[in-house]
Amino acid sequence: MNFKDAYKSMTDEIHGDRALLHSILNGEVKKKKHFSFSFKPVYTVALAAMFAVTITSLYFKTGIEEHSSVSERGAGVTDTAQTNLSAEKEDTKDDISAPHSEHTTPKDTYSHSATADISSSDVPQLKTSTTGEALPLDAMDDFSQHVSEDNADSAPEQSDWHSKNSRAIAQSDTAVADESITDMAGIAPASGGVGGGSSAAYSGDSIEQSAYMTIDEYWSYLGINVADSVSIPQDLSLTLPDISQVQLSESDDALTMTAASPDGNRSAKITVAKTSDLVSRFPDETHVKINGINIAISSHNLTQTEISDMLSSLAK
Amino acid sequence: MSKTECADVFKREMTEKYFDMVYRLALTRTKDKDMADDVCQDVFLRYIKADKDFDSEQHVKAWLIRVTINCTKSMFTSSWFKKTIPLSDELTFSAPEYSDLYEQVNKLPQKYSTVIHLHYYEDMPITEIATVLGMKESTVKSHLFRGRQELKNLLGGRYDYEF
Repeated sequence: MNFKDAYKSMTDEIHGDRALLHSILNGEVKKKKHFSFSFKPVYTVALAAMFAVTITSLYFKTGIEEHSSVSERGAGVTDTAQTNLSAEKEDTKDDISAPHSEHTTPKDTYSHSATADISSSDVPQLKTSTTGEALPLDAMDDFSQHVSEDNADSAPEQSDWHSKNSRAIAQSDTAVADESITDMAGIAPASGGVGGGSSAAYSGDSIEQSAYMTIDEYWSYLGINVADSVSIPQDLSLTLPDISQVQLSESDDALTMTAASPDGNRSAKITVAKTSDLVSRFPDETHVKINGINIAISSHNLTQTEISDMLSSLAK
Repeated sequence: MSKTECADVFKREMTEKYFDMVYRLALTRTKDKDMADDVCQDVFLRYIKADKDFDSEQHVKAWLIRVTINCTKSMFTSSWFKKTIPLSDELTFSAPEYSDLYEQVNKLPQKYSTVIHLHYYEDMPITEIATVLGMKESTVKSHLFRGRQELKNLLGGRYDYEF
């Protein structure tokens, strides 16, 4: 017998459900006897998860940007206050929210590094930052522009650190043409890791720059590792600022280290600066200038001989 | 009679004519009456809703076969199907020989039973089967050959079929 004929005869005896045919012809849809998905549920879940991740990332991106903008305008002041650059800085923080008119001497510029110190005489329109400082609108907007431009650069090398800031300044066509803006160091970029962020503001003929640098980068910037070079008395141990970042500006690049005995009875503060005028405040016998680097030592309980020995060890 | 009405009438005729064909192919592939019914419903609902100009009745037939295969494929790939065991349906035939043949054909892997069904029942040439199934002709040939061999083994010489 032919298989084909047998198979055809057998299959011809199979018929579909007539009721189903009529329901189809009448446009009716019968409930399926076997529930099945038209596509894999796992795909649905995966798509939903991807959608959720996309939405979440978009949302948080916006949130971070908003947070950054707030930080640029004010939160940086808090960061600066937390850098604990030196004890002198801590001492002058009570001046943070003081109006500029109270700061009359150039030395006050140092204390202004912890805040935004802007003269209101030439910039009448002021904006209050989140921490209470009054900042000029134009200066703030312009500064934000610089920050955003500079933040695009990731971890600039020490050698071209200033040049990058200078480029950012040169690109600015709306620079704040006001010399009263003496220091923008207090407004630090919110982002930027170790050595990664920098900011700059143009102020008349002078350039005010600030940046986060690691301790190592700072030594490179100075050209001398003071911590390694200084010879301190046997009973003292040198402590670097317990921060991984040092905020720096051309007018405020001072770094203070503490040398103290374990019992705390004897201590000295070693202040280093390249351009800051902070060191000039020290008596002549307590500071030295080596290759353009000012190094000063202050102490209430070390002898002048010990201080001189420490300074002379640096000069070697 | 308007063009739309003509098309509707044509679709009704095609549905009635090829309903059993679709059901048989679906049953061959799913080996389950209920699932074959579901596939049937899906296929003809798609056909009725399809906004497609068919050239000929042969075109409709090929389209229905293609959609039936796609529907059964998507049913097999669903996670629900993978967790289910089809019920063994008892179909009644006029001769015990046919019941035995149906049972043995159902034991064949789907890829073999589909090719055998299309070749021996729908009289489709190898080329057409390859097109409909989206396979190479050589693959269809080998499936047909192996399907026949396996069916011969399953039948065990009980019937002296000439393939």
